[in-house]
Amino acid sequence: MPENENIVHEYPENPKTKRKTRAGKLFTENDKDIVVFGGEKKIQNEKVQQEIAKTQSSEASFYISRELWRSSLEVISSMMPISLMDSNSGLIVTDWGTLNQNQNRRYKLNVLVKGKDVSEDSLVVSVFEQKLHLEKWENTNTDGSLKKDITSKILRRAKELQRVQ
Amino acid sequence: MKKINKYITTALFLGASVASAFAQADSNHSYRMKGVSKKPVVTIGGFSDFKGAKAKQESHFENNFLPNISKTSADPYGDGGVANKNNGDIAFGNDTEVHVKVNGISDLGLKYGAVIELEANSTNDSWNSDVNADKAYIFTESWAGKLEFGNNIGAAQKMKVGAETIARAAGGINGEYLNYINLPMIAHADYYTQNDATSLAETGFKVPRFILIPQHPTGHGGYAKGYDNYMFECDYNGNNAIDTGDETTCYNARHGKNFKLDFEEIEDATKVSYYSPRVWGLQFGASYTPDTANHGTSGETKGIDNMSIKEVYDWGLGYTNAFGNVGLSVTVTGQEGESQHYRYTGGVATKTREDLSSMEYGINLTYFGLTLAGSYGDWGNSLQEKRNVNNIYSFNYNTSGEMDPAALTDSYKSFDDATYNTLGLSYEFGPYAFSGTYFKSEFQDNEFSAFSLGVDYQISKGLMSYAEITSFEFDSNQPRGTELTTAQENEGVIKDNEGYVGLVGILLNF
Repeated sequence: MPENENIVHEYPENPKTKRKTRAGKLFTENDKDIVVFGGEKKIQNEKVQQEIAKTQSSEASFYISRELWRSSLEVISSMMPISLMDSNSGLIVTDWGTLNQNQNRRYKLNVLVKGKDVSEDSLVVSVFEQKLHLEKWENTNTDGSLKKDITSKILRRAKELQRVQ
Repeated sequence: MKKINKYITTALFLGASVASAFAQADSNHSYRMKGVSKKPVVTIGGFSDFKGAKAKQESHFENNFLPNISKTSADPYGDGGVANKNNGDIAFGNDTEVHVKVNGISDLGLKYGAVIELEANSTNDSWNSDVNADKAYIFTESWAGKLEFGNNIGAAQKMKVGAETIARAAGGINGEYLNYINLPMIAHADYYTQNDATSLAETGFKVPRFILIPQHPTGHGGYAKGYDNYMFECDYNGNNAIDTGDETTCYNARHGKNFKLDFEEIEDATKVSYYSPRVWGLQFGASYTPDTANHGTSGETKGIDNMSIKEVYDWGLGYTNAFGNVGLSVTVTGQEGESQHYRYTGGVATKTREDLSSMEYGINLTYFGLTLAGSYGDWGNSLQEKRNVNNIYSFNYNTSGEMDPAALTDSYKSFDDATYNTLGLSYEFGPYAFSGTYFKSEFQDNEFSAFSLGVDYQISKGLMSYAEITSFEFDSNQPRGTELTTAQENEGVIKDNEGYVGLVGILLNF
């Protein structure tokens, strides 16, 4: 289902919880609860972590949306290794990598953050797909669904970051 | 109206269920996206909220007992006076919960999880009777909306806005201060024989009741509250009728619970709720509770009840939008349900209650850090006892509307709708926040009002200190005891209460 900015997936909170929420959370960033089991793989790449930390620093200046840049780094780095990232140009490029158990298909992602607003207009996601044929990787067309999912996840996370700040 | 409620809610639930099923069955993707799906994560959180309170009340409420006619100069409070719940000394309170949550996203993008809010108090909470968990429910979220299954508040309570939703510090007119004051009560125990179930059932006074917090009936423990919340109606033997032997057994079982406010007793009854996404600012929610006596794993619908209501439908409609720097939120919420209390004498129903039907209208306006809010609630004659077709039984009035303590007959009087309204203002400035909230209610001509000023300060992330002062005033539907003797008039009338409560506290949220 395509993301539509006129449809917001936010749901009412228990009024008594709101009072506690205003106090923030003691231990964690972004006022989240403490993870005791499960969870996504932490972002291991030190350079990516440093780049994310820059977005939270008031001394670093950005010509693009901080929230969009940070959410793009978080989403893309959780999927596959990043080979290039440059906040001045807003470009993120990954290596080829597989996304699931299917070892016969691989993907390469390019993300361009080009605006200050957290909106679809400020984000360009490109997905390149190859399939293994007779032990050779051949380019193939994508159906567009992966691009849509990545875009919506980046935008959703960026809006979350906007709300926290 | 009831049938329309049922059709609307049924249609919504079916629609939401179908939408969720489509989300599950959506196999239009040629991949399984590693970054989108998320394995379940278990998190822990919670809070501990400590406060100290000091109340200043009418002098007759600041002692162990209310005064009675046997008082002397040596013993000004005498014997036989009704006991006061809170005598105004400094009191401490501590409320602690531990929250365990599960969150996951399936490969096809369906969010799912559970919320379990465990009580961690060392004694029973006066708002919530004898439970080890406050909330416990499963939820799913898809593009079609959110579904909740289990023990949580319903859509009407969750979606409504008003002054109580912007109150800071301890919560202002949400009622934390009520734990430290006494509700109006008749002084002389002879008119209120607390330990005699037979006289309670037939000849004891019915104490005045009030709407004390701005909530629909299920968020108010099912009914207006008074000094004595024993309803005299308890289907103890489980035959769906209140028989002669039930009341004595029920009274003995519930004795000691009279002093509890029990606002949260039925609000978390097991239910199913649906919330739509916000579309162009509009959002809809609905809940269905088969029986407010259902809690947790128990399907028990008979036995000891405080106020069992069946077929409860909650609904809410909200609109939220921003116009420049001004934010607007408007809600209309409602509840419908069937009362289940009947009392039989000789096989004939002699006491029944009106069904549940309440509405609330609320509005919030924000401008930068300033928020103005208000609401109006109308319970109608929800759950009030009826004697005949158009009459509502309440206090021990005679047919002229006057108290008749000598006769203590089961008389009747009609009242206007039970209503309440709120008004509030709050302001946030950096780590500080201030609020002023006002509440006024009327139930069977018993009026209650409260005005609360609060301030809280965020010391650091997760740590907040607060201070609050609330003035309150009860104005009971004071009977005119024209037939009373002087002594009876001194001791037999309802002692109203007014004063203020100061609270200071600290909240730790982790």
